[in-house]
Amino acid sequence: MSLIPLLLLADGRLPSGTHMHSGGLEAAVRAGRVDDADTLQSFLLGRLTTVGFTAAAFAAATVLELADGVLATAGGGVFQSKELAVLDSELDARTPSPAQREVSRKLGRQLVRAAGAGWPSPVLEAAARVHPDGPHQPIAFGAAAAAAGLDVHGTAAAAALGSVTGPAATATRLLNLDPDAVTEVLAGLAEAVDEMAAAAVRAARGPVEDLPALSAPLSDISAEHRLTWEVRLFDS
Amino acid sequence: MKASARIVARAQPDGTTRLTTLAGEAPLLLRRAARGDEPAPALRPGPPGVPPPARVRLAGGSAGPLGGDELRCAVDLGPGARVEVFSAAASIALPGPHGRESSMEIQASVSAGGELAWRPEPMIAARGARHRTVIHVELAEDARLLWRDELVLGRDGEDPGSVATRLRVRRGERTLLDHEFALGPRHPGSLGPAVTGGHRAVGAVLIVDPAWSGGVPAGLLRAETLDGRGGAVAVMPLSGPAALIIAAAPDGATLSRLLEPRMS
Repeated sequence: MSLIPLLLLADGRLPSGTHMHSGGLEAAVRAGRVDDADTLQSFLLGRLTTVGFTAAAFAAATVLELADGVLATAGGGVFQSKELAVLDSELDARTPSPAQREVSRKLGRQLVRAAGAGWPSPVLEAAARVHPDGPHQPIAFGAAAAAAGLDVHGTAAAAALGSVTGPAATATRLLNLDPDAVTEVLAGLAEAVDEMAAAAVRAARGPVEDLPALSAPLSDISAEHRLTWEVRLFDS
Repeated sequence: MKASARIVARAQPDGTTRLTTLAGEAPLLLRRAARGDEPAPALRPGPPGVPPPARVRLAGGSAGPLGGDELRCAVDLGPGARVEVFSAAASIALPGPHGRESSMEIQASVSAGGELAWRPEPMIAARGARHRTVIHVELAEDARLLWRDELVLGRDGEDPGSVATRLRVRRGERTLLDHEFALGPRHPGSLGPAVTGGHRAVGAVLIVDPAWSGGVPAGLLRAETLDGRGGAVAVMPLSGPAALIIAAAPDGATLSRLLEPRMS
C-alpha cells in the first residue's frame, strides 16, 4: 500500500466539510465540561473509544467488503453491493441521535464527492447509492479508502485518528487554546488511537452484528440540545 | 454461578395473557406479580376493555450478580401476548473472587400484536465490579416494546464500578437499534466529558410503537441539559416507529425522573 493516498485521506485539508464540525466539543465547552488541555484530552479519548471506534470498525468493514469490487470493476461497469447497504443500515441503527445521523450522511456525501475527484471509482458510486441522503460518513470513508487503494489497517487508523483530529482542530477556536497544546494532546492519544484501530480491524473481520455500537450519552444528548441554540460556531 | 430463566406467554381467547412457562433458578428467580406489588402504571394503559398485561417480577435478591456469574434469560411472547417485567429492588453488581466479569444474556422475541415492557430497577455497579449485559430483541412489525435500562456507577459515596449494556433490537428484517453503554474505570474515556461528564447515573428507555409509523409524536420530544448538577435528557426518534430516551444524572433518583416518558 502506498502511504500517499492514506496521508491525503487523513489530511484535514481534504475538502470534505469536516472543518465545520466539532464532534460535540462545542457543546461540551459551552456546558463547561471542557475548559483546558486536560479536559480536552479526556473528551477526545471518550470520543475515540465510542463513536471513533465504531466509525473505524465500519470504515474497515467497508474497505474489506469493497476491496474485491474495485478489482472486479477495474475495466468499468456497475458495482453493486448488498452488504454495503447492510453496513449503512447497521450504522444507522447505532446512531440514535437524528441530528448526528443527518450530520453523518451530509459528511458522507461530501466525502464521496471529494474522494471521487481524486480517485474516481465505481465503489464510490455504489456508496453514494446506499441511501437517498447519501452514505454515513464511515461508509463513505471506507469506500474512499477502497477507491484510493488503502488497506484495512490504514483505513481503520485514519478513521480512528480522524475522530479526534477533527474536533481537536476546532479546540483552538473554541477554547482559545495554544495550537502547540493541542498537538501535545493529540500526540498523547497516539497509543490509544493505535489500539482502537487494531480493535476496529478485528471487529471488521467478524460478523456485522458484532461491530461495535458504543454510545457517548452526553454527546448524543448535546447533539439534540444544540438544535435549540440560537448561535453556533460549528455544524456539530 | 450459572443460572437461566425463561418466560413464555400466550394470549388467551378472552384477551388476557397466560404465562405458560415461568422458570428460573437462583439468583435469577421469576415470580407472578401479586396484587399490591405492581409498579406504577404502564406508559400507555391499553384501550378501555383491554385486559392488563401479565406481570412478572424479577426477584434476584439485591446482592449480585457476582463476578463470574453467567446468567441467561429467554422471553417468548406469542401473538397478541402482553407482558410486563419489573423488579422489586435495584440489583448490585459486585466483584467476584477471581476478578472475572459477570454476564447476563437476554433473548426476547415478541410476536405479532404482542407487547413487552421490560423495566427493572437500576443496576448498580459497585466498586471493582465488572458486569456485562447483552440483550437481543426480535420484534414482529406490529409488536410494541418498552425497554428500560438504568445504570448507576458505584453505591453512595463509593468509586464507580464498570458495567456495559448492549441492546440490539431487530424489527422485521431490519436492525432498529444497536446501542451500548460501556461505563466505568475499565472503559477508557467513559468517565470523561464526552460520555458521562462525571454523572454517576446513565440510562435509556426504548419505546417501539407501530402506531408511530408517521413519526414519533411531537409532544414526546424534548432535549434538556439542566444547569449545574441536574443532569441531561433527550428523546431521539429512531429510523422507524420508535424513540430512544437517553439521560445522564448525578444520582439514580434524578435519572429515573428524567427517563420517565411524558407528553408536553
